[in-house]
Amino acid sequence: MDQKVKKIITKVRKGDHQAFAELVNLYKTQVYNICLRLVRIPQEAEDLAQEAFIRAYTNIDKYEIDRKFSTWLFRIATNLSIDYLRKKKPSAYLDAEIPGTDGFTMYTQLASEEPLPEDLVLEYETQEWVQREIEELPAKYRSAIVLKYIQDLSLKEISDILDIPVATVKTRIHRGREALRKRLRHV
Amino acid sequence: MACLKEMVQIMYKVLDQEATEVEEREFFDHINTCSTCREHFLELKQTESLVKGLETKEPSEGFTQAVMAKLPQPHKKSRRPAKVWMRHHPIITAAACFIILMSGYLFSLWNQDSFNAVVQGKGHVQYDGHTVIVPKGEVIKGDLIVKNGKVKIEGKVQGDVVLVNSESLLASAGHVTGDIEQVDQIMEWIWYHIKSIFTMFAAFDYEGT
Ligand SMILES: [Zn+2]
Repeated sequence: MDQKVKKIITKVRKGDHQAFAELVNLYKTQVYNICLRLVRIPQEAEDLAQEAFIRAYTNIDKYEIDRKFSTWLFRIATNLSIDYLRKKKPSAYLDAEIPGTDGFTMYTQLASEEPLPEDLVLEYETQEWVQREIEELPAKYRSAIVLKYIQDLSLKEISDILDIPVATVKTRIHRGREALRKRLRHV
Repeated sequence: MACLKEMVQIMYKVLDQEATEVEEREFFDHINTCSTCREHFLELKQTESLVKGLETKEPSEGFTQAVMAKLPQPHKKSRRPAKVWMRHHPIITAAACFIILMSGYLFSLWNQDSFNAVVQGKGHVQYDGHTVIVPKGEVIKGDLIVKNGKVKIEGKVQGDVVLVNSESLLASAGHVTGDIEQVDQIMEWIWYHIKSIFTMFAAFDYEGT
């Protein structure tokens, strides 16, 4: 796999435009899923994933060939998604506390207005719900959780992608997991 | 609930598969009796499986084509490898630039087919129409280059005499310490200059050591 990827990259660097399509095909699902789990909305995830590949192409000379290509590519995708969320802040108002309600947010209110009858929760709805709860995590916990549980990456790889020490990755996973537990415990 | 803090750390290790056998036994013994820790552990397990259970979704069918269509055009890209190559070979690049510029310069010199005489060094010459005269008693310390004319050496040239489409009316070995070079072809003309550049580099090297 690594040798194959390196061969393709060498071709791309020599100006073989079409060889890049092979790289896109190899990694599009993983890149798309990272973006999707970070931003939730499929159309936005698709745009971000495409942008990640375009950036990888235009910066292909900066990629160090002896490092893992997927790490470099996932890093671009993660950073783009997090930047996007930072600029957009879609649920900022949901997280804002309602004055005088002591920790009660719009989100908890919305959630409580939509009862989830346990026996009617379809698989699809469970997925939607879990995805929404992930989206409510602060971005730094969310990226660590997505890379660990959805991409199944090692702590070392996550540390390379996020450019933070392994110990910090661990802390973020532990805290993100605790935050999710509190949201997901009542199935 | 004195157990909590320490037990939670062991619980995380168990979840992350980093606990030792002893820690693991200690932990499972503990949750047999402590319902708080048991609940906590089961909830975390459930959280993990819910998150892992998120399906892998496929991007749209036209994804790859869409990316390819948005890439910067190949002709722009084709300049890139050259750029990279030049960055990796600065000396060859500089030398190539130098030779190209120099050839252009020399070619333009060649194309001026008017009479022209240059002393590369110290010394004075006299002119008589298109004839360059090194007067008796004059010593040229350097090279004398004459184009499209004639040269009459009555004094001395302590260097080379280069005659480009020119002829020497009077020159014996005693008058010129260097070579008398006849250059009648453009390639020779360029060659002469390139040779002198290399001689110059060699001189630098020599001085350097
Ligand atoms: Zn306990």
